Amino acid sequence: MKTFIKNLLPLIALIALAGISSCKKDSFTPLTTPPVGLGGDNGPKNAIDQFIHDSMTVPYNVAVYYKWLPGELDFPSAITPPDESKVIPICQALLNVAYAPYNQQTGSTTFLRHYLPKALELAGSAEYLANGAIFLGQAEGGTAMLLYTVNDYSRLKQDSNTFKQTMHTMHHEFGHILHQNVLYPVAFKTISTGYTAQWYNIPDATARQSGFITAYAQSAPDEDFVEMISSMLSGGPNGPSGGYDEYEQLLTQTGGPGSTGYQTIKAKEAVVVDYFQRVWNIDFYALRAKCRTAFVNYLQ
Amino acid sequence: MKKILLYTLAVMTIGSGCRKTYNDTIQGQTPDQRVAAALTAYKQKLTSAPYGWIFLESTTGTAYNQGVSQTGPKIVLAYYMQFTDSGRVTMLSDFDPTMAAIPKTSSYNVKELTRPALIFDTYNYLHVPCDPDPNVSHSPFGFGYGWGTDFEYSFSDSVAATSLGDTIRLIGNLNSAQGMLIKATQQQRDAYLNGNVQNLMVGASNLNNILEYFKRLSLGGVSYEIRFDAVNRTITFTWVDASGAIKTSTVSYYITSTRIMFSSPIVNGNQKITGIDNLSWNAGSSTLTVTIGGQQGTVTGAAAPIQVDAGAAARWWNYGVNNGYFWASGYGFHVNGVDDAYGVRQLTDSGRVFYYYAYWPGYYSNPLDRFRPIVLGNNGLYWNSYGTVSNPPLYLSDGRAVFTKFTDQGTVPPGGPVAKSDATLYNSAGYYFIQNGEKNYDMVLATDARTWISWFWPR
Repeated sequence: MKTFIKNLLPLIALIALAGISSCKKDSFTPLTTPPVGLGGDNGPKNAIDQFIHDSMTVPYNVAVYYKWLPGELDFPSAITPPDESKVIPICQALLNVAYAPYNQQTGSTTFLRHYLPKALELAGSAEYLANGAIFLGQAEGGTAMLLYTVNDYSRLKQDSNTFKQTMHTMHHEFGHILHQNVLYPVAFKTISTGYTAQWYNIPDATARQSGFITAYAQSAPDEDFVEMISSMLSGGPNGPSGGYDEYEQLLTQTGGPGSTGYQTIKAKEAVVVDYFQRVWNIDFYALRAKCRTAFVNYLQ
Repeated sequence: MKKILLYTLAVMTIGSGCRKTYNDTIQGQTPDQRVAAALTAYKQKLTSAPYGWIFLESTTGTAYNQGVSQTGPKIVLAYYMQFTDSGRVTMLSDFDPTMAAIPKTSSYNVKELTRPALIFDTYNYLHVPCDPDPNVSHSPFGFGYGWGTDFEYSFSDSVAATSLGDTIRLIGNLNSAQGMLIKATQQQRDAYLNGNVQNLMVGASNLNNILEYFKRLSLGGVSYEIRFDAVNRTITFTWVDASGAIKTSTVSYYITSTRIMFSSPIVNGNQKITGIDNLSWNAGSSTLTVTIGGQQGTVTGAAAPIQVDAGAAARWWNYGVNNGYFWASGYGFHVNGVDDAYGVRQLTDSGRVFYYYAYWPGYYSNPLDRFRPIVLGNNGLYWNSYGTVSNPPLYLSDGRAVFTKFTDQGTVPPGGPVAKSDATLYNSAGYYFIQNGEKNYDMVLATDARTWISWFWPR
């Protein structure tokens, strides 16, 4: 054993030396160029990208994703990307009918710039769920907003129902963003009972009689709250016959003043108005008037 | 020996552990750089074809949404595509005549996913059959499903991008549709841009000018019965082979710039049919001339099937009796080139509207059959308030089936759609039955084969 160590010693010394020299750290060289492939898609910019940059990104700090990003929307769902020809029109509609009233009411773009989710994702079709319902929009924790059915977008009066649906989705999702930032009074959740996951089996008119402004409002208190906001902010007076219904008209389906449905919805309306005033310092009725005017004026 | 091993181990441990080499590079390239180079090579491959590409897409017959699959017809679609450096793709499609004639441009991208991927990332003709809205895609797979086609593909050839040849294989990431990009020739490009796909579609639609149900193709002395199914994109050939046996073959078709192509050839002895081209309609003789494999053929109407399926009528009737339900038709009789010639779809009955025309074999246990419309009311389906009771069909030795009326039920308004349908059903010439699927039969009036009704099993 002794011989073994004796024989080995020079070798170990040699190896140790070699090891030290080869393990010497090179001097630190900072990266001068970013790693290849970082920074997202860097394809050529076209007129749509320029419009998004000038009208959405610069004033509102919002990135608009209209090209299909694998895995970005619910995976694995049969969803299609939007038609390019619909991208600028739908952005313009959002700017004019959904954003402008907020700007006028708050006096500047600061409010939306602060609270609008930083990503707006567009899909051409809806997302079809196994229960037969479809997603028209989604809000993701205050950071991203998804608008589906962009390919159906139209601002023609004859398509005013589709147009109203788009605005309804927009106000609905922005409502989520607002309450995800500052929650509405907890008492709101106890105004109604009867929230159900099977909301899609209930016709809207029946939901209204039970004090929910839409059937979807009956799915959960969060949805109820934002459906109240979006039902009041989208639509307008004097729609073409068979066209959009506005809030007052929806209320006639409750059974009228004095009915439980009517009173329940009015109680929720009061919470929404109070919430906007106290949390965001926005006069909801004044905002609503501006939204309705913008809506009616935008239809062709 | 043990010592040597130990030394070696020690040397290896110390030597390799401390050697500072950049072995995450190959020829000085980091993985990111190599990925970027490969993606550029794929893109260059796509943009370097001077006359663009023909893209063939074959579905598996399964479509997915939210992890749930549905099955339906397998189809093959053909596109013409031109890719540019600036991320644009222009295409034509054989999905419908408009898409075959007017090019549409959108964006595409080549990206690194689990495999290198070709993504058609904004809407174009390719996305129409993918659309989950059945009003857009006309997909029979149901609400929320397209045809099982894809718009996000992985490159599936296991070779480097630079080694790809003139055929590039792709596989769809959602539905696993098989894609194949084939480099187009100048001639093919010109034919596409001249609207030849639309011409071929129009040529094929001339088959509808032949008023007879049976379309007989004669080619090199052989007769074939052919049937186009434009909904499921198939063509069926029926013929009698050398041994006298009846043969049937159904294949998917797709349309390229030069031909209506079959997904697999129809083989009859030494005759092999891979596609049809040069379809031209001769109004004088009511015939369609075609070219098949360089040989000219003629399609004419025929009053009787090439070979009668003698057992079909009895199979149809017995299926109804054994399963205790009715055969349904959504359109009633087709007569002399007119769908729903008697206007049954306009039928109303005390506020209820037409839903099906029904034939219920053995509705009464005697047995007697019921031939009567079914109407849709507020709370479901109802029998129309009038119709007829039929005796079970008589099967003639030549394969025809003849219906005779047992009695009227209710008051059948004279001259109305039900009276006309009754008169047609009880025509003494009788009917040929053609089975088109497990639960699909066509019933063709034997007088001149210009009147027929299609039955499906509504359960």
